[in-house]
Formats: sequence, C-alpha cells, structure tokens
Amino acid sequence: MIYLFLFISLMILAGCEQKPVERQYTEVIIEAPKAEIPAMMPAVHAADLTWTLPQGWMEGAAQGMRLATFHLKNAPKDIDVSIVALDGMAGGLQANLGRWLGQIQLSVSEDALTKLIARAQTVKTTGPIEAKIYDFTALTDGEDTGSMIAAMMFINGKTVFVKMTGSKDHCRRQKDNLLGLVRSISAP
Amino acid sequence: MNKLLSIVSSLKITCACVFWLFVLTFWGTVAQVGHGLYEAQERFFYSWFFHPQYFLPLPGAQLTMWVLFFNLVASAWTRFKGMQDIRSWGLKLTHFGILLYLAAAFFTFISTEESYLNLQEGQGSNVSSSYSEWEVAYWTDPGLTRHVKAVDIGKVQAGQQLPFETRDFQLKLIQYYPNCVAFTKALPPDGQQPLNGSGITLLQPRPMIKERENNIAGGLFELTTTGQTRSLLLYGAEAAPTPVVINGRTYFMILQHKKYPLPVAIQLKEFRVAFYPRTQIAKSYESTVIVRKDQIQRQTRIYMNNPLREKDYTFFQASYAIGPTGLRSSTLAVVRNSARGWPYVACFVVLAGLILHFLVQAFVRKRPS
Repeated sequence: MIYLFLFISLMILAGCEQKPVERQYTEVIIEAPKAEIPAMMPAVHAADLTWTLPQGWMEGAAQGMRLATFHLKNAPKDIDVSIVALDGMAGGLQANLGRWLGQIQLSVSEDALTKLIARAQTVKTTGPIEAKIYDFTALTDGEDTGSMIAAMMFINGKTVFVKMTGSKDHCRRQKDNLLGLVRSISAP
Repeated sequence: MNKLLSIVSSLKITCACVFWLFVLTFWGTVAQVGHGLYEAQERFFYSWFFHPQYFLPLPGAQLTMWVLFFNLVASAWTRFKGMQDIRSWGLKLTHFGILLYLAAAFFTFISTEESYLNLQEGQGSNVSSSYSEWEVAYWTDPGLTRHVKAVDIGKVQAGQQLPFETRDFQLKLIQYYPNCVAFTKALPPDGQQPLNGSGITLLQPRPMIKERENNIAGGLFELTTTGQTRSLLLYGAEAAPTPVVINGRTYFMILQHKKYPLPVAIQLKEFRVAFYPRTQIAKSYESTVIVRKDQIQRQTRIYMNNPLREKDYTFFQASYAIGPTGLRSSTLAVVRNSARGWPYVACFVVLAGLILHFLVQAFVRKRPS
C-alpha cells in the first residue's frame, strides 16, 4: 500500500504547475513560391483608402487581409465590420454572395439570390464611386438570426468590400452608420 | 482496514464505474456538436464533477477513472492475495492489463500535447502551435531560420519579470488579457503610445470564448534597456513581430500561440477538396505533404482516417480554408502522445489474461479441497 501511495504522489507531483522558464527552439520557415504570395496580400493598402469613422463606432487594428475592423464602442460584440480590398473582380459577385451566405449559415434559393442582387441599393461615395449594397437581413422572415449587410465597389481596378455581420436586428439598427461609412470612402 | 478494503473492492463499484464511463463517452460525444470539442472534453472527461442543467452535479470521467483505479487495486489486493493457484493467473493478468489501460489514460492526460499546423499551399514549418496557450518570443535572425527564445506568458504574473536569459533587455509584464481586442486610433489611458509594430495603441479585455482557439491574447509590457524604459504592446493576432533596436541589434518580439518543435518539417505541397454537387459542403479533403528530416524528404497524403505518424507525433487532417483569391490552406491537428503504444500493450495483456484464464479453466483440474 505504501508503494501505491508513493506512486500516486509522484504522478500528482508530475502534473503540478512549474515556474516560467526560457525555452529555446529553432524555427525553420518554408515560404510559398514567390508567384503565389501577392495573391494573399491586400491589393489596396490602408493608406490608399480613407474613410470617416461613424459615431459610436471604434476602429480596430488591420489584420491579415482586413484593411480595417470596426465595432460598436458600447457593445463591441454586437457587430463586426471589415474593409477588404482585392485585385480585379475578386471571384465575381455570385461567388462572393454565395460564400457570404455560407459564412452566416444561410441557405437561399437561386430566385431569392437573384432578387437580392436586383434590389441592391446604389450609394455614391465621396470618391465619387458607386457602391452596391447587399442587404441579407431581407432574406429571413421573423427570426433574429445571424445576418450581414455588405457593400461592394470598384476602386482603381480593385474590388473593395465593406461587410457588417451580426444579428439581423443589430445589422438593421447599424445600417445607416454602415452606409455613412461607405459614403465616406475615397481613394486619394 | 480490512472492512474498508472490502468496501472499496466491491464488484458493484466496478460495474457502476464501467457503466458510467459508457454513459459519459456517449454523452460527451453528443455534446461536442453543441458545445465544441474542447468544452465537451473539459466538461465530461477532464472534470471531477460536472453540473448538468437543472440537475445535481454528476461525477466526471476523471473521478470515475480514479475510483475504478482504486477499486481494481483494492480488488486485486483483497481477492488475489491468498490465491497462489495457477487457476487465478489469468484473472490476475487481465486485471493487470486493465490497470495498465488506466495508467496509460493518466499518462496521456498529463503528458499529451495538442497543437495545430496551419499551412498555405507551398508553405512549410517545423513547429506547431498551441490552440490556447500563448508565449512571448523574440529572435534576432532576420532570415527564414530563427533561433527563438520564448516564455509561456500564462505562467507569468502581472508585475513579474519574464525570465529571458539576456542582458540586453528586461521585460516586465504589466497587464495580460487572455482575450482582448486591439485598437489603432484610440488613445491609451496614460496618453503615451506604446511600442508596437502594427500601430496598435490600446487593448480592451473581452470575456473568454468557449472555443478556446478563438480567444486572442494581448499584453502590455515594460521594456527596460540600458538606461531607458518603454512600454511595449503585443497582440496575438499581429501578422508580424514588433522590431525593437537595442544596442544596434534588432530584436523581433511577438506574442504568439505557444510553439512546439516537431521532429520533422512539414510542407504542404497540395490541398484537394471535393464538394457535394451544387453545395459548399465538403465531401472529402486531403493534404499532400512533403516530410523533411535532415537531408531526407518523402511525400505522403493525409486525409480522414489516414493520419501521418512520426515517432510520438500524429498529424490529422483537421480543417481547411479557401481564401477569397482561391488560395487554399490546410490545418493539421498535431497530437504528441508518448504513451501511444501503451493501450495496445494493455489490450494484448488483457487478451493474454483471458486466454490463459479460459485455457486453465478448461484443462487444469481443480484441486480437491
């Protein structure tokens, strides 16, 4: 029985927390072939676009492909707004709308998608550039599900997306602010 | 003492534990759908007790397995103590095999490292990243081979010095947030802009997210170099490290998921995914990787039920992503388990014990009492 007790004590000691120490390792990075790297880089840099922050919103750091991220000052988890710019047509409208529907876990018929595209609102930015607004909140009736309002525009041969995700209710409440942000976008 | 041993060694406890483990396995597997893999693991399998909604606390798998362990030890102690007969050898061996299973489970529990390796096509690395643990790391080599020095930030208290063995600088943790968001255009409370390579000026804490890999840590540090003290801000989602020039040498500092060196370097050669017709639901996906070790390299495929095994490490195909530009990346789950072979040994021991028991029962006659 003593041996059993000693064995269990040793096992418990082995799992105890230890003090922080310096660890050393050698990291070897194998990069993707050069030709493929530009595809992942944002095609328009943050400095190439300017915008005005809507009232009540906070601007977060640029991350990965995002030129900017925005949240509500008082309730940062309610909505997530991003600006992303990609080369050329960035896969086309239908493909992007389909991908966004997948992101908010929404499945709609082709008819509904065609109607959404046909009903897209046009907004003029200070650029002046025309931006199309795709309001996914109109696709679901009644229930307050995850939703999205997205703007798409072409600036200097690039496609710029401004996307707001959140619950349907929050997206609808912040739509005017999103449109304000889109209208303020310009490329100097 | 004997009375206590006879209670602990009860066969009823054995049966109850085995039945409860069966229930927990089923319940925990189903719960993964709604709660996520890690929360389900923590709740059902790593816990002593868990609290179902509108019900009393129930024993978790950890408590159940400890009870079963003591029950089996006590059972072996009391029942086999006086049994020297060859007829009991099979049973003894079988019990030893089950105890070996439990020992393997315990060793796996305390020693397993779970991490991931996220690679775009063409990329490769010889380190994997923890899902939830963070490290503050620095290196001075600007090239693709980095000699990294790192400290696990989760073990450092606010106000404590990070134990880097360099005389060039000292780094003190001021504030650490296990989950936070970063802001670039906000003014910090003290009005002074901290050092940060991405232009981040402020961190705001957020409640922890259930899926632990979605939390992004951040911290504010006090960097002391020869005669100068500056504040340094590091955020876990930064794409590049913060370069700091100290005594004419550039130190690249970063807060990143804790890295685990691997015995090989893995390069993603190609990622393939097939979808069900007219849907975005993946039918199958697989990674073709090049495994490099020293000067030798080989090519292999990793897909569902076909992981790559290398020493104590197993690489599973976990997930994938296709970027807006069509560039594909694959995520491999990396599990290091030094006791990987134990359950197989335990299985053979139990099998040998049962065979021995049945053979002895069949061919060895019971001695007349």
